[in-house]
Amino acid sequence: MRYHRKFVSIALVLVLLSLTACGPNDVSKVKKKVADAAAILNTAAKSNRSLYQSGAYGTTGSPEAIAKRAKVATVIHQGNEYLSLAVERAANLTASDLPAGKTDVVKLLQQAVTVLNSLNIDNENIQLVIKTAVAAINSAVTLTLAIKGA
Amino acid sequence: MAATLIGIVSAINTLTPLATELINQLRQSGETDEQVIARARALVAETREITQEDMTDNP
Repeated sequence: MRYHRKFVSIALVLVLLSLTACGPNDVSKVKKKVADAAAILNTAAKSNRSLYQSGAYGTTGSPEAIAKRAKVATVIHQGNEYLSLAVERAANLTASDLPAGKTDVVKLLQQAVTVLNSLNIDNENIQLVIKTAVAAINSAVTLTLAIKGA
Repeated sequence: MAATLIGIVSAINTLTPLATELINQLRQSGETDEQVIARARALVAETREITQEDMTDNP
């Protein structure tokens, strides 16, 4: 009976530890979410170039098309700089640092989203690309926040 | 016969991108933390290069 109680107590402690501890898996998850966000923005940058080359911004080579491509590229570039900081923060992330690191990463991803949301351009295709990138980065934010150790 | 062939080709066309995506996902799921960060850094660097070029007036 005494052993049974001891076993239950140890099991309870282990369960509590597993619920509250920040294991190496949680750190890996945050790093993967940041990498996912980097991949999404990379796709957006490539889509911007493809849309310009396909003539979706106007005649390729015309000042109007170049201006639209540059406007979108500027916004993606600014968002990417926040993402670059998020990648470096995630690179130095450790299990003991997870709650603070997660907050830093989420803030940087949200700043990238704010920049991307500031784009105002009269082209439905690139608007859709940017909206998709924003939705995907927001999803990465939500999933990062859901990782235990907050 | 022709309809069957068209069906097979169509199925291959549909399944190939899905299979490629699945292989990519499986490959990425086996990545170490260092590999994940290296991939993220490479993506950020490539995005920076593309946007820097596209921000200029270069046609």
